[in-house]
Amino acid sequence: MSNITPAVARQALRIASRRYPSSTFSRVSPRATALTASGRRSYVSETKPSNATVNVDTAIKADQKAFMNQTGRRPEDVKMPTTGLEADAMLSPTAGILKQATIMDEGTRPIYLDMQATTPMDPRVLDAMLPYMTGLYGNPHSRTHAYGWEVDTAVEQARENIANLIGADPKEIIFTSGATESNNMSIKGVARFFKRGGKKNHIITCQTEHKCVLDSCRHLQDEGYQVTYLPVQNNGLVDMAQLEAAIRPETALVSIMTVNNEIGVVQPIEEIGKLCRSKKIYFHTDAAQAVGKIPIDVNKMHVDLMSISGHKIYGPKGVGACYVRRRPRVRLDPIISGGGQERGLRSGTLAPSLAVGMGEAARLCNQEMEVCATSFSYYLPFDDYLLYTCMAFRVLGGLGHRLAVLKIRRGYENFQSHSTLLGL
Amino acid sequence: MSLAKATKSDMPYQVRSLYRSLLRQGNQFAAYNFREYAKRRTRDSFREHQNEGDERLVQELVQGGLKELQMLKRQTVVSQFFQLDKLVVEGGKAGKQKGDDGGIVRQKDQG
Repeated sequence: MSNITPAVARQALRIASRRYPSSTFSRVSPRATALTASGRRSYVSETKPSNATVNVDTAIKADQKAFMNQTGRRPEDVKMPTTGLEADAMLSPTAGILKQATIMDEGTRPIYLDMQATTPMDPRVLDAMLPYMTGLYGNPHSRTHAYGWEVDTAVEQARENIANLIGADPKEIIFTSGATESNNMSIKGVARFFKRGGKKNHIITCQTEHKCVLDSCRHLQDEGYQVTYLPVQNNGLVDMAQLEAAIRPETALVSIMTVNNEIGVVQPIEEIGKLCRSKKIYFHTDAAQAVGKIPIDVNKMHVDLMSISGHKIYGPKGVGACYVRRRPRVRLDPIISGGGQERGLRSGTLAPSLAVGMGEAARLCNQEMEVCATSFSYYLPFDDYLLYTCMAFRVLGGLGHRLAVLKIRRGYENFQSHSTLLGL
Repeated sequence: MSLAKATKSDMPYQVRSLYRSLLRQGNQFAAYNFREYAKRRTRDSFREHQNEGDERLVQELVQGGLKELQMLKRQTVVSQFFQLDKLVVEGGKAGKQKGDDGGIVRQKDQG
């Protein structure tokens, strides 16, 4: 049986091909068929060997064309051949339905509020920086040519702006790579300088300090220094009596941050400064969160060393400053040694664009601090309102001594603020 | 007319013109935060000095404003070169905002 069937089929095909003209089966329109039937003569095109071979170039071009026609087609533009639905509806049925249903006029990018972590760069700052990223590329430490001079004047202007913001002398400002480096430089520098002298090897800091301060202190502990970590009261402030009790004759440095980065309490810097000055101890404060938000005067506060960050005051990231007092002179052992730039405390060529950006940011802070203070003051009643209305709402740290701008980080009962944030 | 030649009488016109150009230029920021800040800051600072009587001070303020305007012209261009998605609080692709001059509603493209 199986042998016979193909033979029969072949025979049938042969008969059919003889009996019907090919046009009967073809899909040519009846009109075209009629034309050929009415006797117009047509010739069979001549056979050439080239017709049988595949031209590689044309084949590739055709493939490419077909491919390019396909590319860039989004799922919503493609109709599926089977159901007539759009391709995105086939991919995710809900998306297809939602597309019909939702009418929105909103973007998709979430808003950013965590201005304690970092701030966007002000357009005015970028505007000041751009010339130093393009045309003015001189080395600010080159004293022999105009390329160096013009950049140097800009850097010095920036230094002056920063100094004005904290009531210091421009010569007391050292540019660093950020507040972390400033903190490291201050704490390790003072400690190592005194270790060389011999007797002073004790540092006082606070348990709520920023990681970089605490970690620097841990490192110093490994090197044989004594470190006291002061606890804070319920309201987040350092107890002055405790601080005074912790001071020993061999204490070299007290490091307390001005504004806490987590809960925003403002420490009594002026009192601490006065106490340290009376005991002839150097006082370092990490003011990364405070500069530009509250008025700061290093002389009034008796601060000897202060860390400032660029990217917390709408400046560029990757730049900071350290205030190092000159009268009475604070002696530091530099961490980075080299060409002796920045009074020998932080060697290495400055980044003029970053320094200029930070200077401009500091100038803007100085200019706009009052404007901001008035516009932020109305958040205070809102805060009290939240306290009254939400039972499970708790402010971490006391309500007094607080920076209005920084009243964001809070905990709910039984929740950590970070996990709450993730759950939102 | 250059500012140096501005007579006493056309100073108010100059100031109003500067105010309008600052607002218009500030509106060109692609980034929502900068756009709103530029507009708010312009309004606030002009209102603050609304009743300024001292002519010299007005001249100085106008000069400062012109500098700001030049800065805005440069920075809005930069902002338009580097655009990101719109924030959830502002308009979508069309960039129109809710509530402002009868902002459009548009179908959101999902998926």
